[in-house]
Amino acid sequence: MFQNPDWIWLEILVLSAVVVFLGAMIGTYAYKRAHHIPTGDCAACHINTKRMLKEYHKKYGKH
Amino acid sequence: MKRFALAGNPNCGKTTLFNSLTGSTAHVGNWPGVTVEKKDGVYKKLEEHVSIIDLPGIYSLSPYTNEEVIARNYILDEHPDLVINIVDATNLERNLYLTTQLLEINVPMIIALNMIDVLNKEGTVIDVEAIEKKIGVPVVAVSALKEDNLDNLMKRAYEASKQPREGKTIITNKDILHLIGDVNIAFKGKEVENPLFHAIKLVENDELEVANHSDLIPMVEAFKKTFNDETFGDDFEAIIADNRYHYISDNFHTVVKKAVKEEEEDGKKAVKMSRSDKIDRVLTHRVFGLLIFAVVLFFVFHLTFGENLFFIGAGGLFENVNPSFAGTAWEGLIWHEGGINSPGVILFNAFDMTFGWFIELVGGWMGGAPEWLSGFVCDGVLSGLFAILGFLPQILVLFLFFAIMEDTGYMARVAFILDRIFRKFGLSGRAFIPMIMGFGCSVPAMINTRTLADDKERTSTIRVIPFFSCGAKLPILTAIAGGVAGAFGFAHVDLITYSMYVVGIVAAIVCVLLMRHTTQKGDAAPFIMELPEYHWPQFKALMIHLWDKAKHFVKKAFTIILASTIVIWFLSNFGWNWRYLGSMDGSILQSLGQLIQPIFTPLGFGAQLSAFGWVFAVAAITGLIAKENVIATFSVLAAVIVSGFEGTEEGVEEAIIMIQNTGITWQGCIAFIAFNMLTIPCFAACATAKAELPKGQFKWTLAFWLVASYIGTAVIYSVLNIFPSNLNGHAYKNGQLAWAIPVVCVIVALAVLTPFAIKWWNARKARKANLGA
Repeated sequence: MFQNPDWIWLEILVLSAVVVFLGAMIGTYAYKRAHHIPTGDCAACHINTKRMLKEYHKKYGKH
Repeated sequence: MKRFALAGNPNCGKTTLFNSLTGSTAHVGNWPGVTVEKKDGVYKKLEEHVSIIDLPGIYSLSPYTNEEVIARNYILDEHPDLVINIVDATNLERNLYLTTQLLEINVPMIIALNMIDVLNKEGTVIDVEAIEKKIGVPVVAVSALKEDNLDNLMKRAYEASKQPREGKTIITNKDILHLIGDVNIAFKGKEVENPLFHAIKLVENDELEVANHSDLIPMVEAFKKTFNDETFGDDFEAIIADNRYHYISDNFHTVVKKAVKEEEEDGKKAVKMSRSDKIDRVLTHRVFGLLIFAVVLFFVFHLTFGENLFFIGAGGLFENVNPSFAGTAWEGLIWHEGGINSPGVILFNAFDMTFGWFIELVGGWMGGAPEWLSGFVCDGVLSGLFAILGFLPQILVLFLFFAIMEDTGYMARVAFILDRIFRKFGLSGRAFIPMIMGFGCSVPAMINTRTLADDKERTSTIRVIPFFSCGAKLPILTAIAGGVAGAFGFAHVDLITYSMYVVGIVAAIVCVLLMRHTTQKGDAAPFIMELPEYHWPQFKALMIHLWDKAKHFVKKAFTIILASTIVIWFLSNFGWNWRYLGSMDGSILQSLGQLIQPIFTPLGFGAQLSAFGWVFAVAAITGLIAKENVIATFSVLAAVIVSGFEGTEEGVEEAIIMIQNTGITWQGCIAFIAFNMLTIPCFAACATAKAELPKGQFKWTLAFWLVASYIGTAVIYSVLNIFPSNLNGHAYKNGQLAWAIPVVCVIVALAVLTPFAIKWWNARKARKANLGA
């Protein structure tokens, strides 16, 4: 690793991306479990609900 | 935001209305604190947005099924601003039974008289104004399918929601009405909401009311002693139901003027059958119905997986024909020497060849990059990811066919046909719906078992749902079947996939049969289901269904599958000293794989395999996270095994590499597919099963999956070993028959002894129960 100066930037980029991706995956999962937020297939629907509510509140206010 | 709840009988067009009202915002979600799946969406065409809640389809508000309890609790406890009662205009009198119960609740209400287009087509006339006058709530005739008059419905619903409505009853029996009045006063005194509804239910001896208001039971019981109906005695539930039906038939039989067409038949006048009735005479035929279903299913699989679409390749017609796009990266896209590809295979090839071309491009660009970097990007991430994404078109084609079967109304007929058979195994036809959903995904299928009233029937159904091969298992089936075809010269990939689906169904039947006669013993509940009218599938509904499938699949590929691919690549390229090895020799994965490999020996992919045999053991384990991982694992490992292999081909090529480098037989390959079909499902399905099963049943269910898959696969492997390992050369491998013959003898003996064992088990239980009594 890091022996070919031409590719060092890509090696750093790939390693960083992997760490961020895996960290985000594990972190998100742990956060969701801790806060009883749906994980797995249900999560997609949960995101839709949140987005819809956000749009609604933006337009009509939080009443 | 106002909330309108949709309530109505099953199959009255509720979901169609929901989708038409909410459009693209419609989605399915789990509500916090509520244990049953509901649909919710937003209607945006009024002066304010309205939240629409689609409640489960129900026939009454009595707590006989989970759906009825959920719908009842929602309307009573969640206080929607209005209930839209959807009534199927083609079955008016039966649908109004629920309406008479909804009227008793203090909630604004409107009736959507759906399927009016069907009546118009038949020439039947319905007097909407008369219905409105008699019931006393607004009634609007609509067609949810054709989106007719929906804006008017919502406008009137919005107006109605502004006015509070007091519950009223249609019960006319004076004595009972008097009792209801007394109980109503008592409920009002207790400041209970919806006193009239609760009073009627208590008089009906409703189990929820009896449990919640036991202090008022003496009042009802005292009255019962002085009361006796000539027909129903003191069964108040029956008397009230009879009252409701009388009210409906007395008041509404005149509002519908049916256009009865008659035709001469053998000199006698006979009522002309509808188009659906005529089709049903064939499709639900006692004998041909099942055969037709088997043929339909075969053609669905053939159109999705077949590489010889019109069976003309088998006749040698394509032997001297050049493959389509010969000499290009897209060679064999549409046809090849074996025949013409099916639509599913053409789409699959198109995706796969494009991905292969892309990986090659990236590999060429990274030619000078460090070995680990190009290996990680091309062999790890891209190979694993594309091996899964390549299956997306075939999955969509398969689900398109299933969606068409469902949307046309054919699936309901299949449930009806299978009820007769299911009943023999101790299940009702109702259990077929979640099982057929299991072909899509086990998660919603397990949730759907809530429609089964009996806990033991539910437990049995949940346990066998994973045996119905879900979309995620499709890549395993296709890739290994393709590998068997490529490596052993067996030309019928579609036959292998079809057979494996059948194996899953047979395993489910055998297991249900065993469970329902031993640990989950019980009688199947009667199965009553309306057969909806046949209609052409709706393009919009099909597209929504496919979009949902594609979205979930792609999301899964870029999250859990990608993460697993990275981890597998790391484990297969790094040793315990955390140094990059560049090969699998001495890797972490190899040592872990070799540790568990002997477990799978009786299944045909264990210690009997050569050097890289452990990859099958590893793939079987990674499949527990998500089934797509099996082929992603193959893809990553194939790239490590074969130097220079860039994953330009999808799973099939990887499977061939695995077969060639492990010495696995075709029987072992089939056994590997069977194991993945029958074993513990993915994490998401396990979590759902845990949530849905009765308390304490999950650990036994896990054990059941492990034992069933192990025994089932061992049986399949042993039976297949009767046939030679080399399909063309008719050669047996060393000890193959010596292994197969005793095992097959044991299987036959077990099959003969099992009924006696079950009988003994049940007699023992009965004896114990008698002693206890």
